[in-house]
Amino acid sequence: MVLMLGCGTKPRPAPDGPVRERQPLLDFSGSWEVDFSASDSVPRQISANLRQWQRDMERRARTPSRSGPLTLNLGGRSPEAVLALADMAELITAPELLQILQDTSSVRVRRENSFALVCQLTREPPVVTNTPFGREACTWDGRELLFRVALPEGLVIEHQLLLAENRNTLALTTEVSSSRVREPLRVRKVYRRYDPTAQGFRCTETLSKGRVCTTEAPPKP
Amino acid sequence: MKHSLPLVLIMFLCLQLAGCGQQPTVPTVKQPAAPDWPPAIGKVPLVTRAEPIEPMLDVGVVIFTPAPVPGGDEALSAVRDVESKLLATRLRRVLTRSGAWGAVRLLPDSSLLTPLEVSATLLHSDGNDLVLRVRAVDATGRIWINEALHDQTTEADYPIAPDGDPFADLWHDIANRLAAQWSQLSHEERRAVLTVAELRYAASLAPQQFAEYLGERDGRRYAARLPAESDPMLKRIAAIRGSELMFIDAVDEQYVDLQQSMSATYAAWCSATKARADWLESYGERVARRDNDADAGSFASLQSVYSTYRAVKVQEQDLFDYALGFRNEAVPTVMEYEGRAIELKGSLESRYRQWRALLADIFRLEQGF
Repeated sequence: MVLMLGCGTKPRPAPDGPVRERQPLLDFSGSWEVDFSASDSVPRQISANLRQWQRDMERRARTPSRSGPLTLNLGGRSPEAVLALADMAELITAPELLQILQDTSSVRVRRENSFALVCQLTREPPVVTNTPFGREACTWDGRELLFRVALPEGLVIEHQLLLAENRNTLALTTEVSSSRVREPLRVRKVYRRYDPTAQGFRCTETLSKGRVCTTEAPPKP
Repeated sequence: MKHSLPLVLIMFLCLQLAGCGQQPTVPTVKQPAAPDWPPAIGKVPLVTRAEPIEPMLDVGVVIFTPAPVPGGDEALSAVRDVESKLLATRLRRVLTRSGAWGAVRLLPDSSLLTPLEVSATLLHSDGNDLVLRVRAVDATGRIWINEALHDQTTEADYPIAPDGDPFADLWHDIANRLAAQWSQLSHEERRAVLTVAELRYAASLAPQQFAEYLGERDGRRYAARLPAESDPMLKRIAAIRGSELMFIDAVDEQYVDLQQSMSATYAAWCSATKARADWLESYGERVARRDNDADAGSFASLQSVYSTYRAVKVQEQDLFDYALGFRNEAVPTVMEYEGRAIELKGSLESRYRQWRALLADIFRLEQGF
C-alpha cells in the first residue's frame, strides 16, 4: 500500500492517442470514518524511505569516484528532508472523519479539523483555480476524484479519492512532495461509511445560533 | 498503450500544474497592488456630533457589490457575497454613530427611498488592504463621492478586538466626507434635496401626475413646482413609502444578526489572509535574495507554508458556512399589506424588488391607472 512513486516516473499517454470518455462522478456523499486496520501509518512509511536512503548511501560508498564526496542530501532523500516530509504527511493525513456533500454542481469533502476539498462539477475538468498562494486543481472520472495543490517551497499535495465498487469503502491516497524530496511520500487511508446519527444527535450550521445539534431523527427523504 | 485510470488522471493534473518534474512556479509574491489603487487613507478619527445636521437627512446604504472572484470558486463567491453585506452594515453603523444623520438604512438594492444613497463596489479585500469604489449621490443628482478609496491595515490593527474593525478608518473617512458635504450646503440647498427626493419617489409611482413637478438643469434635478399639501395622492404615496420602509426594517434585523454573529469569523479570515499576504511578501523577498536554501524543505518551512494556506482555507470555509446559514435563515419574508399576508421568496435583493413591484401595482390599481 505504501508506494514511492515520483510523477516523473509515471507513463505518459501518447499525445495523439484516443481520449477516453469521462464518466460522471458517482455519489460520494455520506459520512466516513477511518479504518485503521486497513490504512497506512506514516512511521511505517518513514522506515521505507530511510531504508531507501540507506541503500543509496551504501551504493554511493561503493563507488565514491563516480559519485563525489558523500553528503547528507542524496537525490533529494536526506533523512532530514524525508522526516520533514513525513511530518507533513502526518499533519495532512490526520483527519479521521470525512463528511462528503455532493450535488450536481459540486462535491465538498469536509475533513475533521482541516479545510474541505471542493470541486466544481459544473466546469470542464480539470478545474484549475489560481490563488495568491499557488494553484489548485481537481478532476474526476466515475469512482475517482483527484485534488492537487501546488504551494510555495515546492510543496505539492495530491489527494486521490477512490470509491470501492460496493460504495461503502473509500480510499484516500495522499501524496506529498517538496522541492527537496522529489520522490513523494504516499499515504493511503481507508474510510468506511458510518452513521453519524447513531451517536444520537446531528448538527447543522445556522446563522443566529451557529452550530445547532439536535437529537431529533433526520427528515425522511 | 493501456494506462490505468488513476495514472491518466494524475498525469492530467500534473500537466495542468506546470509539470511534476519541475518545481512549481513561485506564486505571485503578493496580490498585485493594482496601479490605479489610490494611496491608503491612513488614520482617520470619526467626527461625531451631538445633534444631527438640520434638516435631518435620511441615508440609504446599498449592500455593496462583491469583489470579483476569479475562476468561479463557489466558496469564495459566497464569502465575497456575505462580506459585501457585512461591510455595508459596518458603514451603516459608523454613519449612525457619527450622529450627523436622520435614519441610516441598509438597502438590499438601489432605491429612491432615501434622499442620499451610498453604494460601493469592492475592488479588493484581504486582511491587508480594502479598496472600494464609493459613490454617494443625492436625489438632485449631486455627486458627493465618486472615487476609489483604499485603507491598509497596520500591525496595530491586529489582533482584532472583539468589536474591532481593522478598516474602521475607511468608514470614518466616508462618514466625515458625507457630513462635511451636507454641512457645506446652504439651508435652501438642503431643503431642496429633501423636496426633490419626495417628488422623485412620487414620480416613480405616478409619473403622469408628478413628473412635471420636477425639472432638470445642468444634470441636476430641481423642484419646478410643488403639489398642493392636500393632494390626496400624496397620502397614498406616503402609505406606499411606509410599506417599503416596513420591508427595509424587516430585513434590517437579518443584517444586524449577520453583523453580530459573523464579525468574529470575518475577523479571523482577515487575520488569516493578512498572514498569507505577509508570508508571501517575506517569501518573495527570500526568493529574490536567494537566501532561502538553508531552510527550504525543512519541516518548519513546509509547515509554515501549509499552516498559512490551511488557515485561510479554514476561515474561508467558516465564512462559507455562515453564508449558507444566512441564506437558510433569510427565507421567506412575510409582509402584510392592509390585512393581506404576502410571502416573498428568493434573495433579499430579489424580494425587495418583488415587494416594490407589488406596491407599485397596488398603487396603480388603487388610482385606476
